[in-house]
Amino acid sequence: MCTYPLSKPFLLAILFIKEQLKEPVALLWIVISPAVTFYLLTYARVTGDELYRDYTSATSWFYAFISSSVALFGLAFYIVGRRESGFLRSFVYTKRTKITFLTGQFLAYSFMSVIYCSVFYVLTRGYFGSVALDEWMVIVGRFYMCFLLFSTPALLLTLVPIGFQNSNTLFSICSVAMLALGIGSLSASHPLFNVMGLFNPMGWANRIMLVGVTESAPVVAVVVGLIIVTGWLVFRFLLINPVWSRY
Amino acid sequence: MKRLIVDALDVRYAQHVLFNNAELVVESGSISGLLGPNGSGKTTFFDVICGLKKRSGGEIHRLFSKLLYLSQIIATPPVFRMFDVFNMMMLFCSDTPITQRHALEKIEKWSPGIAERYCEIWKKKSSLCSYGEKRCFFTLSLLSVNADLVILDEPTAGVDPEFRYHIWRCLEGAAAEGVAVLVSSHNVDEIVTHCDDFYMLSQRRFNRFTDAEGFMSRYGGSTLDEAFIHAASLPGN
Repeated sequence: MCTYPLSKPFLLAILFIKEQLKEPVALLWIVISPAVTFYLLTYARVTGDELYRDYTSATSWFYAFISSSVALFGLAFYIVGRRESGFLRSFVYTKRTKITFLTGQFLAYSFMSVIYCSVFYVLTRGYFGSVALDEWMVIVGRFYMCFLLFSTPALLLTLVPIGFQNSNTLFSICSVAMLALGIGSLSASHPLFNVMGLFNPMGWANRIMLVGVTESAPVVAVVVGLIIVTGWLVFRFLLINPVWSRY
Repeated sequence: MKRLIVDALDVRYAQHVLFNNAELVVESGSISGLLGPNGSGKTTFFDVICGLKKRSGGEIHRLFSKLLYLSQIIATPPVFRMFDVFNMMMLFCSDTPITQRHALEKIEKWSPGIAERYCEIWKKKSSLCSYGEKRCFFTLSLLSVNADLVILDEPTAGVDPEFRYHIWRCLEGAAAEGVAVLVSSHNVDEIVTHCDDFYMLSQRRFNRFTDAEGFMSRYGGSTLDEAFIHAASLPGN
């Protein structure tokens, strides 16, 4: 009985996962669309060497983009949605319930990030050869770190008092801008791109996907530190009342 | 006896004064009603009690250990069935696991005959439930949690007469077991009929009444609604 309060975030996470899996359109779109794009791009530029390209380097931008989508349109957008629908107003108005809600939400989307990563791996790995458990585990580890990296800006965006539609637009702009800036800086020589690239999480996520978690130890330390601070900030300043409401 | 004591409450929005030196008391084992026109500050007052809004002045002494609040807005994930919604609600509202059996035992004891309709809603998909069904389900489920102060913001709005009857029976049952209930409504008649005392939010204060005669006499109305209209149109509202 005394473990019940501790188990609440896990039980809530199971309900959130159930809710997400009952709405498979988002799952399909976030994973299927990058997979389709991947195959289209590969088909368009296929050469003799392309088939022998390293899987990780061929897909790192895709994994980085999917992890940003899970953080922005899963973890963060659902917080905005739950606020704007009045769900938070109905249930989450004490410190204890805030902790339960935020932990449950974070656990649910941590799990979902692994699902998204795994589905994309299965969909694309076959093109380069057979799937391998040890490789999958390495990729999932890197992907989860990317998810944590994007969770910081995504969670901070939930503190902006804007409604559902505007949040959607803002998240889309951030997502596309990060991707465009990241890929654009690859071939750009202007120093401004290098400076902007330093502050672009997509570039850092791509690097984590390429070189690994332990090899990116300083970046990982910053990511973990930031997510802890962000968690406290969101707990402290979480908007409860819908923005559309006069309350 | 446990009490909620609101003492000399001041609440301001920019230049707008919502409450000025307002006082109110809710005691355990009783139902206190709250009346007031739209926009007079009933929901804001509940937000202040729950700590969601800051007060400009005054004190709120809350001697209760467990407060539950049913807001006007009720949103449920549309893909869930109501038993999932119940489980989710209990994760936020109860310190101990609450099952359907536990909830049914309580509400059926307070209002015999409610179990069948409650169980019908239990199995329904949230998106197929009417607003009234959801409100009733939420209110009755919340009452089954072991809270000692329950605040309900218009629990009977949009609810059919049968559910309304059961809601009031359950509120009376909970109060008889020592729960303090603070409930708002725009139906003056039900507040006067079912509450041990009630407050009219007029001229930025809570004016306390214990019966219909006192209410009608104070505001010079020949009916409850007429008295309400007079109270709502007084200068300073």
